[in-house]
Amino acid sequence: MPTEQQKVRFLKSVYFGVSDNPVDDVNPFQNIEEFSVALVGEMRWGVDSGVRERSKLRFAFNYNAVLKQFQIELPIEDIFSNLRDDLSNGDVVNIWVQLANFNN
Amino acid sequence: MYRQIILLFLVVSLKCAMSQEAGADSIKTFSLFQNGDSFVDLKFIDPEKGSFGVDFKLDFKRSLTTSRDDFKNLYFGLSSNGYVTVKDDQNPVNSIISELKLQAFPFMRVAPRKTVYADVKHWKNFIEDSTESKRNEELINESRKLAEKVSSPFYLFLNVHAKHETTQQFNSHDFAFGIQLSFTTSFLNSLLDFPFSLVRYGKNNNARHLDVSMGYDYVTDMQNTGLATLLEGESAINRLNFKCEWETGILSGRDRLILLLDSYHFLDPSQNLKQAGKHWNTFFMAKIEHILNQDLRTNSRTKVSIKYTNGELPPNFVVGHVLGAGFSVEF
Repeated sequence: MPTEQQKVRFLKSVYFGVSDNPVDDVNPFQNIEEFSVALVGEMRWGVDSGVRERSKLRFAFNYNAVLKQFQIELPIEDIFSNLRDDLSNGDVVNIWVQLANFNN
Repeated sequence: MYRQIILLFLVVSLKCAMSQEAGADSIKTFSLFQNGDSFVDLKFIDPEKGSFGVDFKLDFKRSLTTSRDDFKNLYFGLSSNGYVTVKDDQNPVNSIISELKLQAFPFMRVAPRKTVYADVKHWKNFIEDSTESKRNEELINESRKLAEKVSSPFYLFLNVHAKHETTQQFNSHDFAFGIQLSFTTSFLNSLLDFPFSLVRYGKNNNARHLDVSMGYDYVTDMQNTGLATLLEGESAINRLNFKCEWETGILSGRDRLILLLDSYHFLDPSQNLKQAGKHWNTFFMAKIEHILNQDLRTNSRTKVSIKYTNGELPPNFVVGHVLGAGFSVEF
């Protein structure tokens, strides 16, 4: 039975990869350790507040779609609403793992 | 005649993200409130003279409906952001913008060609392996490739809004009612990114969607704004707005180039407005950021940047040209 830590590690790796999207790159970090401790607000969402919001929404759609490929359900609303600038990327993943449905 | 004056100066500053007891010359910041993207910070600009300011952003939303993607894409929002100081002349920003809006977020998006990939391994396969770091790397690479495949190349957004723009004294302000259409796209990435890809040797440091907004505002109650004397008695005016922002990687994996353009155009401007060159106002920013160092033990990042700005922002459209360099430590 996978542990919660294993699920966290899985979601974090997918978060890192999806945010490093070759056609919509918002991830400035070189490795997952740096990425984990950095704040969501430090990702490259944009300068203008409207731009930042739209970038987060696109990421939420992509993350939801990629997780579906791995048989994991995590609603777009839950992804987007927890992308808070004051949280670390690691903290956000800890929230998502409680909301996600890991299908067998 | 449009006057081009470039002020060259070098600014070296140390910025603290959290409140710390620092040297007497730095701005000390204390967080009074933080919830999501909303915050209120108290900043001590000149402690010896008791001068301080409040930097704030407040953002509230209420969803109204749900899209077929099971995402609540229509919402009503109220926001306000600005920077207020005890002494007006110490306020470098001197702008408070509050907005009420109804937004379709998104209004529509182009679906990717394929949404299901049967050859993707079940999540359990990535967990049930003793070689953790190898599996992590494989999973990250797989996620990157899938993200590119499932990404929509085009999103469209629409909002209707009422906005109040003012300086902190509230004696220079206006109201704007209007509509804004925004789109983001990756269709132009190859073209825009081509010159920067030639000078990029870092891996996985690519472009973001181009973000474009176009809007119309009916701006009224313009008494005492910087433009009021040029309006020849008119208290209201029609204004078009065009904004564009884009970002990509250059050089190493730690370097980013940010480009931002914000332009306002007044329809049917008065002769005085045209002669003063205020009927078309543009703000442009080009910035290069480099992450110099990251310390995982203290969770701090050291950045250097070079920024060039040129132009004006509402409500007073005061011209400024700045070329500067900055150094910051974030922790």
